Amino acid sequence: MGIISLEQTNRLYWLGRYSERVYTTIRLYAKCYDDMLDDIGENYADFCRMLEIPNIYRDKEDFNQRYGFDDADPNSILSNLIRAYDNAIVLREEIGSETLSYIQLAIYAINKAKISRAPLLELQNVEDNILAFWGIADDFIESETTRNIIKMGKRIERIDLYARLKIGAKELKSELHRMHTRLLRSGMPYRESCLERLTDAIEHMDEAHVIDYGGIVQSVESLVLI
Amino acid sequence: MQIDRTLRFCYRMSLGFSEPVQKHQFALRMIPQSDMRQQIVDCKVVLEPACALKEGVDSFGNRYVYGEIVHPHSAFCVEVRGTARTAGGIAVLCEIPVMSLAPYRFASQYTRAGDALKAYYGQNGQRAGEDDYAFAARLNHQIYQDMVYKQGVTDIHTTAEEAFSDRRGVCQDYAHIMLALCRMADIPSRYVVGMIEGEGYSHAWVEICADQRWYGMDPTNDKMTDGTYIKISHGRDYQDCIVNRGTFRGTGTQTQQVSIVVSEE
Amino acid sequence: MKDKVIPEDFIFASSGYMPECEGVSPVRGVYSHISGIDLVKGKDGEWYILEDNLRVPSGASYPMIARDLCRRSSPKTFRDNLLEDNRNYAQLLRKTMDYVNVEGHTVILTPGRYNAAYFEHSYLAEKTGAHLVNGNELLVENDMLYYVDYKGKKERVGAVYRRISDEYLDPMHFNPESVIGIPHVFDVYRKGKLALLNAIGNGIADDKEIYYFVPKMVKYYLGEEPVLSNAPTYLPFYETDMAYVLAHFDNLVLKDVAEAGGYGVVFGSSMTKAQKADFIALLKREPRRFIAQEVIDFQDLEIQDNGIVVERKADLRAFVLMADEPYVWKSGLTRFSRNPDSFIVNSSQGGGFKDTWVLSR
Repeated sequence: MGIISLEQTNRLYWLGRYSERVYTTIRLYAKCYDDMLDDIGENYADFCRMLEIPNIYRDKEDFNQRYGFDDADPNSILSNLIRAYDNAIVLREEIGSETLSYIQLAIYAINKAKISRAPLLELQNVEDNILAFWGIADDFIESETTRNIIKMGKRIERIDLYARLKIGAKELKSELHRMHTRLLRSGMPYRESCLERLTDAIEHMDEAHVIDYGGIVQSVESLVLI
Repeated sequence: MQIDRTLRFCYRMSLGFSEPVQKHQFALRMIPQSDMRQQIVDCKVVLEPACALKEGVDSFGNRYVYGEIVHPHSAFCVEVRGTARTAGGIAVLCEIPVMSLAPYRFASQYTRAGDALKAYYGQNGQRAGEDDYAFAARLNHQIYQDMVYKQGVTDIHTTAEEAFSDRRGVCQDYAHIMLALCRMADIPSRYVVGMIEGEGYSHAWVEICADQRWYGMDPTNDKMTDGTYIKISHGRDYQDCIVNRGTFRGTGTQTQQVSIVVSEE
Repeated sequence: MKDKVIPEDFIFASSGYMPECEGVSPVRGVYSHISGIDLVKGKDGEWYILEDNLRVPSGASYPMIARDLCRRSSPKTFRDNLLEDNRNYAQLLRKTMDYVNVEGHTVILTPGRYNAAYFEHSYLAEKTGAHLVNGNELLVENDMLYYVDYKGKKERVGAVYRRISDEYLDPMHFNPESVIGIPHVFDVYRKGKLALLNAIGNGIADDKEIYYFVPKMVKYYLGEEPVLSNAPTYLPFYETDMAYVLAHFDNLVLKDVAEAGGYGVVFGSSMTKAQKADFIALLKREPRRFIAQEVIDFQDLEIQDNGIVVERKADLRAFVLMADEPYVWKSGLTRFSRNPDSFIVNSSQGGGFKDTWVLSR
């Protein structure tokens, strides 16, 4: 193999990003869902604010259902999973049917969660399938370039999400190092200036009085040229 | 060949795009070729924006040029300019083996007859001892009489049957109707695109094959082609002679302007 | 045609005829690299050919999948019976593509993921190691076809297994409105610098009318009787055939030659009196538009319908691949009708498919 078109590169990258977005937001959603069992207020509003998504939800039941499983809500977990699938389905010969099948299984699982009275149980299957997807992608995909592009998408998405969620310096630093190593290995074209700003903002987080989370999101979003 | 006229021609086509387009690929069939009744000299093709042009000959024998303009542009203009020395009343010898005339003998997409044309052929298709040429000449005149020339009632997708059912159309429709009838009569015939003296647009007429010769007939103007006609391309019907084919990337809408000037030297 | 076995107009007036291909020879003289021959087994035990598909026959991926699943779910069947392994289709296809490849990559051209056969396109690409591409990922430059990678590097393409039909292949030569094709690919093909699987213009051979002449062609070229029979077919175009069709209308199936995929098929026996009169009037007006065939009473095949074993009509599409010599894949696509009273097996009409076993000797 070895030759990858621009369109495929783009799709691999976004496959990485959306799979990560689903994985991490499920964990957040699960926590939020669990908290709301004890009826401590309307904490889904904070959740929306953190992720910078519009709070279009009537109440917590509405949030639980629509943020999780409404394909008409562009920010829902289901919508993001469908986007991952949309990218994966056209990459079959690049990533392999088996790799692709775990994204399909995740879709089946989330559709079961949608109608379940205990959705967190089914969502665990979605997470498991995404983990399996990453595992098999790593194990099965022969082309290092292909693997690297998916992983770059995943790493970038994670920094992006962590910054939006204002997660602490330790986690962000660790994520930055993993992303940086991958970036150099992938050979993907990137903007030097964005990497500098990103490194600067994350490495010096301890000293800064006001942490520029917005700047981190901006830099990481425009890091790779795709 | 006996030169009847010396015509200067300038065929100009410009496209305007409401938004810039890129990766614009095109193929142009707008260059006249020399044959037994026209000599083309000093023919030049000028493109704006300029780009490298390649040439090909399709299976009908038409010359076409093609190329690509990669960078964004909002206008595209081609000008084909030259001189044609034409002879009047001369038929072009048909050098194609009879077997290969077959594409010109049977109905094509635009010339498939329906009920209206079949009925019309029923009325006009009996030959009173006429040979192919005389018979086709009579049809040529008959179509002119029975059709009304009217712009805007048909378009490039209109078939012979549709135009004839309404008895109205332009040169493309007249030519398609003529072809449908000739082919029903088993006379090989082909669609021709070209220019005629004075006119502002391209013109379409037909050539029929009789006695190993191609004769030009123009049902729109009720005449045989003469020294005022410059031929560009031929094929089974309109589709084979499309002047400009193009694809591009961009969201804009396209407008096209054509101007043709043919004048005697 | 010269010897009047086939009337000329059946070729030249056919909707599949492409005059652009006059004088063009495909690479190594192969026209039909992948052929799909539809067969049925009659109650008399005879196999009949129903259709030849020489354009872009689809369906080979389904038996590949079906076999995989059957082996997993019923290992005993495969332990106890000697069956030909059909999991070599990808290698056969690869060999077929490589045989005609003109020094370059091999790609599978798809109209995109919303095409009904997209699964097959991507699955075959994966299994053969070919690149799956859309028209806009390929470009023609200096009479060569290229695939452009993400760094902008151009890689030459030598063979395209195209899963789009002739008229959409090249907007510069065929349908000018096609957005799924590759501008100027026909120029490359014509100069012999690219193989297209299958060749352009095979539509003539797929024509329902030409089917009538296939046994005559076999006799003409080989001087032999065909090994497999056609379903007895009549062309109302010929007077004697028209007379037969009118006399035996209720026993015949009539097919509109312009339609495909199971559409435009009517059974004489299922028409009301008024419908029959209308149809016969139409037939007399446009005799060239239809062919008529004897209704073959095919053998029913057992299938599972919601866990219950029932009998349905079925046919078999055999795949013949042409590289240095023709090879018949020892499997095929067995399709069955969904409804008990239907003869239509096309998946576009609700038909299903199952694994096809060829016993080893």
